[in-house]
Amino acid sequence: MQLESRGSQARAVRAWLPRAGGLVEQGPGRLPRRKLSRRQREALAAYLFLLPWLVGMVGITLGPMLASLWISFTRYNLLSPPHWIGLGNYDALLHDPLFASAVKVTLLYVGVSVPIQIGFALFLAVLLNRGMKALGLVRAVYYIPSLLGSSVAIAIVWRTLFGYDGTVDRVVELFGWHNPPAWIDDPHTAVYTLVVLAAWQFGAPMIIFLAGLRNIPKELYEAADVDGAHRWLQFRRITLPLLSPLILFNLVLQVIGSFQAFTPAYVISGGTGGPASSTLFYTLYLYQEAFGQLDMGYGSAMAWVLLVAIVAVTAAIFATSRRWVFYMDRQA
Amino acid sequence: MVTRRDFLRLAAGAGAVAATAPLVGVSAGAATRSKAAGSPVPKTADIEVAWWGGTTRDARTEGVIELFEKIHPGWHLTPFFSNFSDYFDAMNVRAAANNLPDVLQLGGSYVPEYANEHQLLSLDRYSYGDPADRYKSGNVIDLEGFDTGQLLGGTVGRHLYAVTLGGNMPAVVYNKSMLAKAGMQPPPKGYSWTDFANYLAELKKSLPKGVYPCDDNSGTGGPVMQVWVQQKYQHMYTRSGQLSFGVPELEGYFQYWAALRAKGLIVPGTLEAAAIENGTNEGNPLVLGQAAFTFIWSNYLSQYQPLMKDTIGMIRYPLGPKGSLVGDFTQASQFFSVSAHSKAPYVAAEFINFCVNNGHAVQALGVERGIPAAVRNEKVVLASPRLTASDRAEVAFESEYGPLTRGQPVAPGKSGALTTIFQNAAQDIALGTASVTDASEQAMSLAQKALS
Repeated sequence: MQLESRGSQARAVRAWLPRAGGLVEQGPGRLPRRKLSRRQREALAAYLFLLPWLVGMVGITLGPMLASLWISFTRYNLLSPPHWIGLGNYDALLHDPLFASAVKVTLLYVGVSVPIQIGFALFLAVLLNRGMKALGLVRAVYYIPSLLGSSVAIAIVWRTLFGYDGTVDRVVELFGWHNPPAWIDDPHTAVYTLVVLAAWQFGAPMIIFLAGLRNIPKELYEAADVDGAHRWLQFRRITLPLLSPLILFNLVLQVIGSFQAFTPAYVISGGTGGPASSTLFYTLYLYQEAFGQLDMGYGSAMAWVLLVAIVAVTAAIFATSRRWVFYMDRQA
Repeated sequence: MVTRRDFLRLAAGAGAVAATAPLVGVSAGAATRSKAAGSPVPKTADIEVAWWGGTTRDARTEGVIELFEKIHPGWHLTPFFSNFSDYFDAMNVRAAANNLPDVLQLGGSYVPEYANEHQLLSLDRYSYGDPADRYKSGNVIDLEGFDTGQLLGGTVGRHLYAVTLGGNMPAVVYNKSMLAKAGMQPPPKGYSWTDFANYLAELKKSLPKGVYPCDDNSGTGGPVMQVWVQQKYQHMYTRSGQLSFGVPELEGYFQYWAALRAKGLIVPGTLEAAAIENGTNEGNPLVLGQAAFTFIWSNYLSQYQPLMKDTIGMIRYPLGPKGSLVGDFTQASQFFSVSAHSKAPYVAAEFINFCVNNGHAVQALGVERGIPAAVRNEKVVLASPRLTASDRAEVAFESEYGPLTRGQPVAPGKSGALTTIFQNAAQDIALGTASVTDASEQAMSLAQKALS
């Protein structure tokens, strides 16, 4: 290759050659400069700064995800090499009664716990927004359960409270309820104790609602007052519509989170999903199959079905959101 | 007891030459190999020892580790212990990473499962059964006089992969103090399942409110279903590793328990659910004084007694109707194995030998994991000043009934999953979420799938 020392074309070529490559003879004191546009340089810098995240994204999230997609078409017990079985795992899912039961339990949990959690968060956010002494402290106190909620310690406390002949039973017996259910140990009530535990973790959506409430212009309420609208009407006509983007946000996050709930069911049922599979959440069954039975193929297939289900539900929520979410800027 | 020589003959005859490999010519090769790999005795070593069990086992085993470290100052042992269900979740994942603890406790079907996956070190070249081989290089685990059946339980494809830590057999543990208060004797020797049901009905009349005559062991506790099945079938599994019985047998078994439940003779499903979720000895209905009888293993007598104020005793499982086979069996209750990937296999083998043969260690471990597999070590335990009355009762129980039981063939490697399947079926029935027939059919199809 022959290079000329003059001419823009040659310079552009040289800019892409390695600096210390020994390929290019350089005059003393004259380093070739990369001629990148400002835009390109900024993009380069951005990717450089993003590099640690990209490495993590590809190495820890994307790579394993694709690997699990492949594993889901195999029979794989971790110890011997995977063995391709095509759609065998997915086919087995259709005929697995425990899979059906896990789907049912999880849908019930998501369907009941998410509305309760969001309703509770909204209710408390409105209460706390009305200006009170030591508001910061109160907010922090209400947030504590969210920090503790998914911990093992609280799950154990829950077991003590709602277990066979537990604290709750003792208390309701004092009030004359004889032979109360065994809550956690009764398959008809067990999942609802987990719903209560989830509802108790309203801290994160509450904080988000509080921030949203702060952003609603005071003038709207003042105008409503002047027009004689009472508080409930103000809430329905001003607060709710203006908060609806945040309700959508919280709804999506909570739905995704609830589909993936694992720790409380695992700890409270001692890892069994019992009694009688009534707390066998989807993720818990996935864990049992993958790590208990060492059936990684089956576990991976379950994981992909869950992913698709969550994407579908999220998409459905977004599709309906056009009807009930109100964006102030768009309206204006 | 079978002597070492009997064992050799038996093992060779059966084509399952367990620990015999070093005796029949491999030892010379082993010696050269260990020389080639440098000195087999490292000055310093760091190994991990893993087991599952209750708090008494933790304390006893940690005591032995301390003793071992005192004798071998350069060697350091790190303990890892948890309850049973979490233990194998952790081990499975570590096996996948070729990173099992150097010494690990295993039971039943996990030995062939891990050995077949090349996760366990063959202990052939580290063990010997004849005192003459004691000083051959690499020979550290002295198996002289060990019970043949228990050695075979740790053998996979003619190689020894696991050393028994003690023998046990199924046993019904009962609350002596409760029976005394009720003015009843335990069921007499040779009692049948029907006798037991009638006995429980009688006992119920004199028990205080909130106390049930028996624990619900339809899916938990000892190997009740296996004993029940084996009273009718030669083996629980066929030669090809399938279940040898069908849905009707399972239904009959669950029906027996359902009848007891309907009469209030066993603890209700919700209480049993609490016990399962608890998962420890401390949460067992017998230990909590909620049940007078429980079906379990003989070595639990010495595990339960320290947790209770009441005195407890032990009887054999019920027998089948006249003409039935013997259903109960003696077995190695658990084993120590060495990881195939251990960096200090010699130290690991030394520790195992220490546990099963060193007088202090044998006395410290007692009979909590079962009765020592060699008579000479059983004598050492019996001479221990720490031996409690319940420990003695356990030894007496096994020497009385052990010889009456059948030998135990090794369960197929995939049978580990069956425990959960049958436990779930039992719980579905107990809590009324499935009928006996439906639960039996579903459990049978799941079990067949797991074994295939």
